[in-house]
Amino acid sequence: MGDNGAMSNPRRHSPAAVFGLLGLLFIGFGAGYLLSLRQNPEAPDTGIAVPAGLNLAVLTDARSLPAFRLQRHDGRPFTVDSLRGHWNVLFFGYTHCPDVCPLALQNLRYAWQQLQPDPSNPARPRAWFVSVDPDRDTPKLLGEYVTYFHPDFTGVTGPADEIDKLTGALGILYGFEDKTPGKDDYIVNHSSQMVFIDPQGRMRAVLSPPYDGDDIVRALRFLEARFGPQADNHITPKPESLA
Amino acid sequence: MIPRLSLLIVLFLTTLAARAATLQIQDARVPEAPPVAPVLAGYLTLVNSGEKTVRVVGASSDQFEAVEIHEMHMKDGVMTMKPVPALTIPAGGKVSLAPGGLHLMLIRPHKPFRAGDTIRVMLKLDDGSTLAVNLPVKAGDDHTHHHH
Repeated sequence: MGDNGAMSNPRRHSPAAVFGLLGLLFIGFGAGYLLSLRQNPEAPDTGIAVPAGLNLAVLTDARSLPAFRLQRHDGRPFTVDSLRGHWNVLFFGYTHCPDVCPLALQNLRYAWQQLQPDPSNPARPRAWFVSVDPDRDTPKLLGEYVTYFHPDFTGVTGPADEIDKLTGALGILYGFEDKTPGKDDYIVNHSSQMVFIDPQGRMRAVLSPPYDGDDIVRALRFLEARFGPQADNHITPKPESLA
Repeated sequence: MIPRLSLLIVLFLTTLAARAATLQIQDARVPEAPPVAPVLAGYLTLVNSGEKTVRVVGASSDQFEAVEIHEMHMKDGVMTMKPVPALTIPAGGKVSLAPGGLHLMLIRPHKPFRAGDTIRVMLKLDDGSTLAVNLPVKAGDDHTHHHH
């Protein structure tokens, strides 16, 4: 199959080359960033044992988020405050995405079916699908898209510069391919991690692909058990006897 | 002269039909998506039982505004996607369009599809013939987990 992917259409070269270059820079930056999450030399060795087989990078110090102002699909504002008081899973994507985004939402649905969060509990975990394609993803479209997968999932969109504040802080990368004014068909390349935000509204962990619904369940259960609903900023290593 | 020409035409058409007949379709499906989804993904495996390489050079469907072949790559957690101009299925070989790799990008459905519906896609082959493929729309598989 890989052979087919190697073919490229020469007519697309000039815009593709530009985006390719940008993409490489983005990917390079992203790889470096994610590597820094895993191998931060200044981070104390707190011995956070992530469950085996789980591709979860846990920040030893939770990272506060900058102010941003986005919009939920129901019209209500989405800010750091929206993330406080419960655990959060964020996925960044777009509704014109045929493969990765529906699969991610399907995995989240599977996770939610396993976790069965009580919809009346304000401390239940939340799943947010943040658009990186605000020009096409209206709140209405996003709402109908995400609630198809689960009634408690929320779509988020807003001005690109506000989205960038959040993606920048979380190390989420995205870029457009062949996007020109008046053209409605374009591809959005984007990070496919699930980002976990703690009940204080701080970035705590990143689940990298490939992952499935069970991995999301395990990651959430692990983070809740490890850091609790009212986590401190610094990790207190568990006593040896209990480890 | 005329009978000979029509014989040639018949032979030519038979060859075309034979060419398309060497391609078998397996595991064709479209996962059900939200009714508002502007795009759907089509998956299938193309098996070439013939003795010649077959290339799929295009796709279309009466039920969609456009159909393209795309391939997605995952590198360092970043998903990139690009159109693939053709699929090459070597003699005796196969090409799978499956989640996480190649897919038919079904763009702007004329109406929403639900599980149980059938989507019909015409694959254009390099010899000028077309191959009709029926892809059943299937309910979202909640057992999409890979095994560790």
